[in-house]
Amino acid sequence: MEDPIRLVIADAANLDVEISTLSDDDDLFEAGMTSHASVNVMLALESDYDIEFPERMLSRAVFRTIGTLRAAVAELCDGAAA
Amino acid sequence: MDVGDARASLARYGTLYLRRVFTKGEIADSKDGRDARWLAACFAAKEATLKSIGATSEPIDLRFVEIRPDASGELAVRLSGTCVEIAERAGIVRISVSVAVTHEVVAAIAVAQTTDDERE
Repeated sequence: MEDPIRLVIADAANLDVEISTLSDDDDLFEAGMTSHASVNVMLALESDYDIEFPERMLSRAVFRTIGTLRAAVAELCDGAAA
Repeated sequence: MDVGDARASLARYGTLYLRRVFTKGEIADSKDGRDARWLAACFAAKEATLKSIGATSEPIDLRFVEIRPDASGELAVRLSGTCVEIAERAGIVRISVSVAVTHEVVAAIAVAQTTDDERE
């Protein structure tokens, strides 16, 4: 089954490489994601998961890898469910 | 950046893109989002401003940097929120921003002056 977070990132990040070639720890900015594309990733995740990234998460560190984005979405979804 | 990137984001995310990235004043300046070239220029100027004040690693809401023309038509930067604290910590007293716009590409440069610069 396809990883939904990877599907969103692949669709919105405009990467230079296939997302299947990246591990959860690879740097998305080094893989071609621009800062404007990172905004698209944020908007896509917010739309798909009905969440909103708070200011404390609007950093390159959060958007740097698939893993950090996965953790952020999980935290926000947990918060929404609580 | 490519104007097409702003146009594509606007087409895909609509008002969500406008509301999450731009201030009310910037949205008004873009004719409520109809002027994608202005949105791209504004985004590039925000990015350049953040780099000029050294805010590249801290969490920043892009709406904390507002880019609007002043009364003379020159672009003016207005900081708010955490950007004010970052600029104050760095001793920045003035930020000048300039944007070059072609049909499909925009580029921006920002220069932040500190109190030390003013004394020179």
